[in-house]
Amino acid sequence: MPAPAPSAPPPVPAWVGNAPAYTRVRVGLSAGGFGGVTAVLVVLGAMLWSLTGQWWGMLPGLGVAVWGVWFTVTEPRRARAIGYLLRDDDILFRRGLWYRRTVAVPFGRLQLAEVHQGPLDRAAGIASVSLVTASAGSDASIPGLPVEAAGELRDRLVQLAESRRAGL
Amino acid sequence: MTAPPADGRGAPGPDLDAWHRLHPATPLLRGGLGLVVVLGIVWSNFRDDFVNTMTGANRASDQPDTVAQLRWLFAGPYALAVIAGLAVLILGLLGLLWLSWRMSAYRYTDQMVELRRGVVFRSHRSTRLDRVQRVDIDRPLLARILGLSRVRIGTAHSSGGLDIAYLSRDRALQVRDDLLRLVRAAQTAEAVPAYLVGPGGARARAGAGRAESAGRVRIGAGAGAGGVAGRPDAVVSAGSPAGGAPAGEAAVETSLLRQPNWRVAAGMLCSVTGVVLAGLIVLLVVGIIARRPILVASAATLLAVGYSRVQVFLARGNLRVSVIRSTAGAHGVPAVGARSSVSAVLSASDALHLRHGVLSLQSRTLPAGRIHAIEVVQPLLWRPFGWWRLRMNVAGASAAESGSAGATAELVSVGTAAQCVEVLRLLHPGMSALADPADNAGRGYTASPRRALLLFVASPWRHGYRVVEPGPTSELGTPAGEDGPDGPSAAWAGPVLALRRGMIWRSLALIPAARAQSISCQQGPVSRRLGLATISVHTVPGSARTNLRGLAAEDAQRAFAAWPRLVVRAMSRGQGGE
Repeated sequence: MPAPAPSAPPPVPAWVGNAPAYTRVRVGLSAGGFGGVTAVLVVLGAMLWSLTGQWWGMLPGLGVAVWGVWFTVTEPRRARAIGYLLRDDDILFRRGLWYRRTVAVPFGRLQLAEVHQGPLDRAAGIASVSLVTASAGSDASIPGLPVEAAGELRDRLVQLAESRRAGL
Repeated sequence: MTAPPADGRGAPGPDLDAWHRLHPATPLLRGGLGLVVVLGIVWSNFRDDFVNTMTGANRASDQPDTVAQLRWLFAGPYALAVIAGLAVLILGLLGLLWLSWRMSAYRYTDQMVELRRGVVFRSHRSTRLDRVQRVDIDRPLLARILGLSRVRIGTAHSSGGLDIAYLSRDRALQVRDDLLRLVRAAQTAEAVPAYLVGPGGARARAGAGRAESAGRVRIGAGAGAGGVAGRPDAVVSAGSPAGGAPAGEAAVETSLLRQPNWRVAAGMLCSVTGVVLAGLIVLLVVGIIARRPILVASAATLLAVGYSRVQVFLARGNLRVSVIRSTAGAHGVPAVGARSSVSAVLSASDALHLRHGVLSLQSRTLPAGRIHAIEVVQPLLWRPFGWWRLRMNVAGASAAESGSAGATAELVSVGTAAQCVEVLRLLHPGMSALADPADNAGRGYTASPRRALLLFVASPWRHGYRVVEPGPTSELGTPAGEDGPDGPSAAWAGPVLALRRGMIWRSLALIPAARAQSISCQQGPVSRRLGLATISVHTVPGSARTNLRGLAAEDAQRAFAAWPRLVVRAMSRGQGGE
């Protein structure tokens, strides 16, 4: 097998994002949630309007509706902002559009890696992977990976942690 | 289960594998006390009625309804049945208490410590000794009155340990010493910390003079074969893990500092809550004079605030800190001289010993390696007096202890600058110079930019971070004999992250890179507009604040790029596994 050309650049590690199914779940969830709240508020406002003739009872419903539409529309962007990146010695997690947060967890610090799947996740065929270190602040998790990718990531993380175990 | 000796008093040496019972008074303390109190109340209220019933006398019936009803119960036609029922109830309860004592037992092997408890809800907990982070003794007030102690065994996870409660005082000391030795034996692959032997261990051995002690512990083989700087090379020959007295090994305990109670009280008064308390007292006086409802409200608040303060004071009072040092030098030759001096740096085999409490007593053995972060803070009103507080994040502390309100999350609650510096110097000789917390100079700190002042209106300037690299080039200097047993505890010998903040409320947090769990970088919308970011170093929970806001975004990015590598490097140098 010929040696690779010396000029070949090392593979650039790339951010891995979540599955499109996750975006759909989130859009569905926020549309449903905001829709429900809006419906309740609109009904209440309409009752107020019909009983007292005061139209401003509709304002809260309107406000929530606008917020919900904006939130639902930006949901795909928020979902795309989530990702992880495996590096040589640690894993990076990033999330957030307005409040951005990136956390680096060295593999040796990993106490536990778990795959979690709720009922909606199961329907959509996705799962979330979360890492536990000795610190409560680490809070490293990535939602919405395809189920088999989540399992692979967990196994790989545990394997990496095993090879670099360093106690506390 | 063979009948174990109650409380195992006087049993020489650790009885491996045998189940031991707790002290017979245990169930009484664990809830039976409530029964005693209830009985006492009943007795004191209806003493007359009891006496009357017994003597057959029947006096005035101008009692309130409830009393009359009770009298009817005890003196009426069903008196016998009622009294018999009560007797059965009490006997049953006592029987349950006795049964719960009979069913509770603990034991330790060279692998794990186990505790089983419960009659109805049975529980059986076991903790592996190689996971144990701490073995401490405390004596809550009621237990103290009865002369009992509790042995607390903690692991890294806050709920992973177990408490052996309660034991007689001597038995608790013995159990702790035995456990510490077993833990040491179970963890020899890591290091052989002599703090685990402890002065208690030395004491126990001196008396027993056990012949079976085959273990020989050699601490600190220098920078020999693969010996990483600052990491003692532990060589333990196979022997009875529980056998005590390895030759040439002993521990010396020297007093480091005492914290006078008046200073703790004064420090509390010179704080925000102190000011609130003073304000409430003024309100109370005004209320009394003006006879207004303000009186009741302020009195109630005063009680609530004052009560919590008094509790903290009772927990933190009588603080004594001492240093337990292994006297074993290289090749097992006792090297007491320089090493026993109080100010020498703690090696991985040394530990701090904290004892505190006014009513309930706590005794904690704290090796330097278990301190994952330390913060020096000065509340504004303490400045005229030059007092400082040392907060810390410690592995293996229970959730209640490590909370910011937990008094035990403080190493020194109100200390002089000299005392705090002395403690820092124990971790690393350079820390004291670096940490001169009153120092406002640059000192190599990457400061937060001027535009961050918006975030720090209350306490501007002096925010910044720096990485303190050990080595000859650093201003820390190389500690004497860093590669020997005299070197600082491994974690603190590596790079240390220093986060400094505030000019009005001054604070400095020190985190050894080898102990950081993860690093994160955050940015909110306002910060982004200003080009600022926050960097957080995550450690085990505790009261030290390990994040820094208001850094220039590019500085935060640089730190976020460099620090994880620093952590990995420190870990791979073997400094992460104590």
